[in-house]
Order: sequence, then structure tokens, then C-alpha cells
Amino acid sequence: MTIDGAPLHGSFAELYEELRRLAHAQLRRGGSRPTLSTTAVVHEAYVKLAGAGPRWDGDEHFLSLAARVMRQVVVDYARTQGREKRGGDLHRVDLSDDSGAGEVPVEELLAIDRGLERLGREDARLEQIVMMRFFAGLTNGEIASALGLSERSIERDWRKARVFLLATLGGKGS
Amino acid sequence: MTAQPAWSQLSRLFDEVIALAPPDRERRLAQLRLDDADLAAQLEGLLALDAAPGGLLDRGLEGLGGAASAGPAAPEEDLSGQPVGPYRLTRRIGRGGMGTVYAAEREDGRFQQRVAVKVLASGGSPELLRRFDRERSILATLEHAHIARLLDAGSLGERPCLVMELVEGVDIVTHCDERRAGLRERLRLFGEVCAAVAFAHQHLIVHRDLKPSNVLVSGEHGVKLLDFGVAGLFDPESPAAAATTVARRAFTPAYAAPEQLLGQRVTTATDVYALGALLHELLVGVPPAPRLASGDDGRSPLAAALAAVPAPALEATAAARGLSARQLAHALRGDLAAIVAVALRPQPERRYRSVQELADDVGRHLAAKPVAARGDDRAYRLRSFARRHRAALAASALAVAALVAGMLLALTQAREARSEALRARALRRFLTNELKREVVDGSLEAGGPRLGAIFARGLPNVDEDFAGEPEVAAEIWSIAGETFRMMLDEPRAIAAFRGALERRRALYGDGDARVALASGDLATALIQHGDLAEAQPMLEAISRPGVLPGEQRRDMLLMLSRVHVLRSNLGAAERARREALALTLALPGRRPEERGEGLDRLASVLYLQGRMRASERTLGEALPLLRVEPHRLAVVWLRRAYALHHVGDLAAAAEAYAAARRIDGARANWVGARIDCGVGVLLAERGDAGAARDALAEAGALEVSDQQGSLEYREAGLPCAAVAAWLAGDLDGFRAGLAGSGKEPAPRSPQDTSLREMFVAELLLAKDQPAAALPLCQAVMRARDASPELLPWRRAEPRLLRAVALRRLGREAEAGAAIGRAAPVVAAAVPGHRFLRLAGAG
Repeated sequence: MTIDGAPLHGSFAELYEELRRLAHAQLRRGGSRPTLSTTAVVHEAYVKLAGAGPRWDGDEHFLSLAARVMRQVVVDYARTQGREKRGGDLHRVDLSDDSGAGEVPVEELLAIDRGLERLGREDARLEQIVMMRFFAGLTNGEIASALGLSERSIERDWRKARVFLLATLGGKGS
Repeated sequence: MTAQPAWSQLSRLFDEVIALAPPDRERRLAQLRLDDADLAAQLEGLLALDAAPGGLLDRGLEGLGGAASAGPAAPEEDLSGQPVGPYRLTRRIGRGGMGTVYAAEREDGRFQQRVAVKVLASGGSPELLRRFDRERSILATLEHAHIARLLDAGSLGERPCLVMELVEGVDIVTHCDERRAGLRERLRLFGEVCAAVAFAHQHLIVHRDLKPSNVLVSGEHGVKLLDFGVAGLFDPESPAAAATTVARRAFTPAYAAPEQLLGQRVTTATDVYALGALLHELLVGVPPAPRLASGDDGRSPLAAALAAVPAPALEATAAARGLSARQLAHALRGDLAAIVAVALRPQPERRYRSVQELADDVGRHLAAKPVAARGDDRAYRLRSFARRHRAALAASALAVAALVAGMLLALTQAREARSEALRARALRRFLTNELKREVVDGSLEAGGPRLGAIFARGLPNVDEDFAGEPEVAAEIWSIAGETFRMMLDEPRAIAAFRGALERRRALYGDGDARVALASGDLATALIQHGDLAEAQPMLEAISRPGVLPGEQRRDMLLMLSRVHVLRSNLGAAERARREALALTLALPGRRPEERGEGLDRLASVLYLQGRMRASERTLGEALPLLRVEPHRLAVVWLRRAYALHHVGDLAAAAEAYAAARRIDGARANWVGARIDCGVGVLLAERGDAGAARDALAEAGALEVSDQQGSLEYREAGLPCAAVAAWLAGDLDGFRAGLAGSGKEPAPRSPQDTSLREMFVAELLLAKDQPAAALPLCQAVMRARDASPELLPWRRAEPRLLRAVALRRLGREAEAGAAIGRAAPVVAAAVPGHRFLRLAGAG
């Protein structure tokens, strides 16, 4: 992953490492059937680094970064899974720990990631909102207060980003 | 279809079209099909996708799991056919956090019995073993009609197993949806769930992982709760034990209470939250958005969920409940929204104190009795405040919903913030943002009056609605004032701010900072309305030392200085601005640009006082500090150029004009016009009329192209049209040009005034009216003599013009002497000055 030219100095790098570490720790913690809750990772990291309950207000920096790191972690993870299962020519991988929750289609996840790259070239803000909502599992409210926008406009943007991505998915992505 | 071509255009159209009601949308699309069929087709494709299910995108990644990144998962071994004690596993039926569940049959010939056997996953960690063991001991103590019973325990090789009642059913949400169960049926089933959980709580057992897949419904037995697998024994009598009862990460995030997400203590309130989440899903079809301890926005989670569901999905959800979307939204608006909101409060201590209380409230709702959730619930009363004005609400649903939601958000945050200042800031920030956006969108005109109507009608009831909470009532009066003020309805703003001030005064007493801030709000509205005389003493009182902290006191001083400027008390204005600047400098952690902004304001008042040199120097000091957009920076350079121009330092003025001109984007609007205009006057003064006209021709074009400029003339000298008329010798045109600048700008420096008068005198002379020009020249002389900073030629200028008038009047002796004194002074500084030609001395 690239860091979009943002400066990789002290606190930034620290934050980045911490998020990655937490995400992988969570995956390990689950033993043979781990669950990754991206929301929990982001919240946990925040609590650790800020020493307080999450209060996203004005934390655009933290949350954008968290969202990007979660995207990377999730996508890397899905790629690994995809490779391992590809031997049996399986395109869907059971990533679930719960009989009720179904499976996470790796191909779909990777296609979303590719679509998101294209979206980012058209509209960086929509890309950011998708990363925050989809990959970091943040609510519209949290995103809104981080970006200093209204929830209404976040929801509008999400809808738009969603159709863009669905359009690229339907067109078999890039 | 592909979204690649012209995304920005599609994106704009999409925004536009989704905001339209279906008939309008259809009309718009029809029109678009005619205009650009390709684009229309693409847009329709997007709209179809908007209504279509989004798969993984909609489901999200929560709970994404699988083999650890360390290695692939061991393939699950199918144990069907294996014996566990007297049971034989027949088929795998599911997998939970604890292990794999099989259906099994008792096969020892004594009696036929079908059971469920949970087999611990192979390779289980010691932690899993401990949990498994705990589940066994816990479940053994629980016997309840709605809880799946533990029948036995056994083992399969090394693996411990639990033998449980087999429940042939489907999860409660699917069950309800398949049967298109109405809301009452859903609530009834939910009541059974509550009864089971309440029973477990009486046995000191917390479930910790309540979710639809753990709540099955079977035909014969009704509700059955599965999997007290993550439950921990807890003992309220033993705080030491309780302290160690920390949530492990064996929960499902969508149903997990904030304390679970944050790894804090789990109590019965955790189950209350999960039940709230279950009720939420039963009612609106989706679990609630995660709620964090500090992220309680006080708004009803149900309402938020309804708002978030796209219309087609909402129709489907409603249909599964035998309702229309409208009916569903209506049914979920009152008691049920309140019940879910209380159950889902982020802070455990603010939820229902027990599952029984939650169940009781659901029961009361079914019996159409008042529910407890709506009792002491500030958010509820705020909603009811809004509901009382439902007609207006419906009219501007989005704007008002945002407003009310914002109020709730702010009030809830305020509860935690404790400080009045924070609370006020939160409210203000919300409102300011929201209204600014309306102004920017251009939707204020449509939404504004309705917003205003809500407050206008609702305000008289506020004291009653918030009888026990006068602070909140006062706050709402203040918000109303702010709303009216931003809508430019000053009389109402003043009335509302007076209301807020009275209430705060009664609450906190005179001398309290909150009372002072309320005075400040009132004074701001009064100024906006033009009631300067009343605003001034209020601002004087609250800007005295010791009333408000430094930053707020500074803001009040600046407001006061505005009153002084508007009332032409320039000395007092200057003192206030200097004091404000001193306060700024003393602020801890101030930004360098704040000093620049303070100097900039001081320079304005110096300019108005006619202290051009001081103003120009102050601007020179401010310029390197300012961090403003290029357009604002160009204005500051322009003002510096004006000051130098008036003083008579034409070389320095020309440089300053050039500096303003060099700023990127400065020439794009009225600032560019003002710059060109100043340069035009300067060139004309130097006697280069041709170049001056060229400069003005450009300026005129710019000016017409930007109406906004007219508001800014008060800071920026003469309108270009007037200057151009002056150059053309057109007195009527000059006067019309001045009038065309809109409202007569209030404050004006002696220099601006003298410039106008001198231009008029010059034009009168051109029209051969020397008698009329004479008194004007004398007025200009007096004004300029009073300004010691002017260079000598600026004072000689009106004298030279007066001499020309005298000569035209035939008073040759006086004229000759005056020309003899003034002409050399002017000629030395501005050799080509036009007056020299008029006087025959050029």
C-alpha cells in the first residue's frame, strides 16, 4: 500500500504499525477460526493511542489512516486466502466463524478493492468514505464528525460510491 | 455498464436526481433522454444499482473471519456417524464460536431421542476448553421453557461434548419474516426472549452473545435460546470476582454492547443492549449501527436505521411486516423508538436496569399504556417538541430532521461535557454548519422560513417542555436566536436572545460568563438590526476585564469596536481593537496569523481615522503573518495601496497595486476591478489619461461580471463606473456611478470623502460652474490640512483646483498668487498632474 504521499514521520508510522499489529493480533487470537472485526480493531487502536474512549471529532487523520490500513489488512488477508484455496479452484472461501453469517466471497472483496482504486482516481473523497465505512466499519455518524460533514452528505456520498462500485463490479472490474 | 466516462457529470446528475421525488425524477430522466440518451442510460443504470442489493458492499466486513493468516484452517472433519456416549452423531447442523454442532440420536435402544451435540473444535486452545467447561456447568443449572436444555455431557475421543435439547427451528428474524409477522407478533415473541434472559439473570448468568442465530423459534416450543456459551458466572456480592468478569472477544460485533467492543466489564446490562439490538432488527430488519460510549448521539437508533435504508429495501422490510413503508415509519416513531433507544444507550447504567423492565415496557406498549422509556428521557421530549410541529417537519423533512438530530446530539454530548461553554459550542457549530450549508446550497430560501416557523411556533412551549431542565430551555432559546439571526430575521432573533438572556440570568445570576455570552449574542443581533445604541452599553459591560476569559473577551471587544466604527467613534474603536490585539497576543497557543488578523483590523480603523501612514505601516506588519486565501490577501494589499495613494506616495502605491495584482486569482473578481480602478486613478493623476482609460475599461468588464463586488465597496474606494465617468468628464455619470454602488457605505475616511468632493469640484469646473466648485475645494483643503500624514502635494492639490475656479470667476489676483504657491509643490511631486494643465502651469 502506498501512503498517498503523506509524511511517514514519528506518530504516523507508529499509528500505522499499531493498527496492523492489532488487526493481525485479532486474527491470531481467534485460534483456528478467527474473526476479524475491523470496527473493534479501529476502536481498540484508538483507545490505546488516545488513552480515551473514541471521540472521532476532528480525527480525520487517524480515521483516514485507520481506514487505509484496514483496507490493506483485509485485502492482503483475502488474497492469502484466495491463493490457498485456489488450489481446489474455489472462488468462494469460507471465512466465517458462524454458521449463520455465511461466507465472504474473496473475489468480490478483491473486485471491490479494484473498483475502489478506480473510484479514487475519479473522486478521492468517495474513496475515503468507502474505506472508512466498508473497510474500517465506521458508522456514518463517526465519519461525519471526523470529516466535519453532515451525516446526510456522508450517506449521499456513500450511495454514490456504492453505485459506482457496483457498476464496476458488474463490468468485471478493471 | 461502465462508470468510466464523464464520472463527474454522472455524479452531479446522480446527486440531483436522487434528491427528486419519483414523478419529478421520471420527468427529469425523460428530459435527459432527449438531451443525451447515452448519459441518460448510464444514469438509469446507476439508479437501478442504487435500488439493487449490493452484496458484500451492503453486508460489510463485520465478522470477517477464517483461517488465521499464520496458516490455512485445518479442513473441518465431518464426525457424522461417530458415537458420543449413548448418542450417535447423524449430521452436522452448524458451527458456533464454541465448536461444531451435530444432530444426534440416542441409540441405546431404551428410547428414541433426538438431540444436539456440540463438539469442541479440534486443536482448541486451553481458553476454549475452559469456556467449554464453563458452559457445561452453567447450563446444567438452567431449566426454562425458552432455553435450550443441557441434557448431558460426554466426549468424543479427546474432545469434550455437550448434549443439548435439539431445537428444530429457524432464527427468530427469519421466522418472523417468513411468516410476514406483524409488529405485535414480533413483540410478543420478543417478550418470550426477554422472559428467558430475565430468568437466566436471576440465576446470575449473562448470555453475552444474544443474536438472532442464537434465538430460534420452533413450531411447538416457541422461542428457544441457544448457546449460553460465552456466559460467565458473575456474582454481584463479590466485587473482586466481578472485576475480573471482563468480556472476552467471543461476541458478535453487530449485537455487541459498547462495553464489549471496548473490552470493559460485562453485566446484565450487556444483555439488555443485545436484546435492544435484537428488537431493533425485528422491527426494522437490520441490527443497529454500532454505538460507542462517547458516540451517543441521543437520536433514536430506529429512526437512524430507517433513514439509512434505501427506499426500495424499506418497502420490502415493511411488506414483511404487512405494512407500507409509511405505516412502518409511523409505527416505529413513538414508544418503540423510545424503548429501543433506552435499551441501546451506550452507557450501561443508563439502559433499562433489568431485562424485566425492558419486557415490562414492551408489555405496556402492547397494552397501549404509557411506557417508562418516554418518562425521564430528554431526547424523547425533544422529539415530542419536534412532533408537535409535524406539519412543518414534514414540509422540510431533511433540514429539520438534521436540525433536531443535531440538537439531540449536542444536548447529549453536553451532558457528558458538563461545561456550558462546550455545550454552547457544540450547538453553535452544528447550527452554523447546517445553516451555512443551506446558504451555500441555495436551499436556505426554501428551508429557512420553515426552520424559522418551527422555532417561532415551538418557542413558547419550550419552558413547559423542559420544565425540569431550565438550562436546556435557555439553550434552545439561544439556538432559536442564532437560527433567526442567520436567517436575517433580526426582530425574532433579538426576541429569542432576550429570552435566552433572561433565562440564563435567572439560572446563573449576573456576572456569570454564560450570562455575559448571552448578552453578547443579543448585542450581535442588535448590531445586525442597527440598534447600535442598545448594543453598545451591553458590549461595554461584558468586555470589561474579569467578566469573560481572554479569547471571548477579545471577541466582545471586536464586536464593540464594530459598534464604535458604525457610530463613528473611531478613537474608541481604535482603543478596543488595540486591547483586543493585546489579548490575542497573550492567548496561550495562539497562531501567528492571529496577530496578523488583529493588526489588519487595527489598520482598518486607522485608515478610517485618516491616519494613512500608520494604517499602511500596520498593514505592512500584518501582511507576512496572514494566512488567508489569495483573494483576501489581495484585498489587504489593495488597502495598503489605497493608503499610500491617498498619502500621495504614488511610487509606493503603484508598487502595492502591482503586488495585489500579482496574487494568483486576484483579478478574477471585484478585487481585480478595484485594483485596476486604483491604478486608473493613479495614472490619470499622473496625467496619462489614455493609459488610465485602458486600465478602467478592463476594470469595468471585471466589475460587471461580479455582482458580489458591490457589497465590498465600503472598503474599496470608488466604483469603477464613477471613476470612468470622472475620466470622461461626465458629472452625471459620476454621481450615477456612486449611487450605483448600492447602499451608501457607512464609514468613510476623510480621504475618501475629500477625493469624491474634489472629483465633483473638478467636474463642475469642466461644466463651467466654478462658483459651485469653490466651496467643495475649500472643504477638501480643510479635510486634507487636518491630516498631517499627507505629503505636501496632496494638500496643495485642492488649492491648485481652487485657484483655477477663482480664475474662472475672474478673481485673477487671488488665483495667480495661489497658483504661484501650489503649482511648484504639485509639479515637484507629480510633474504631469492634470491640475497643472488646468492652471496653465503644466
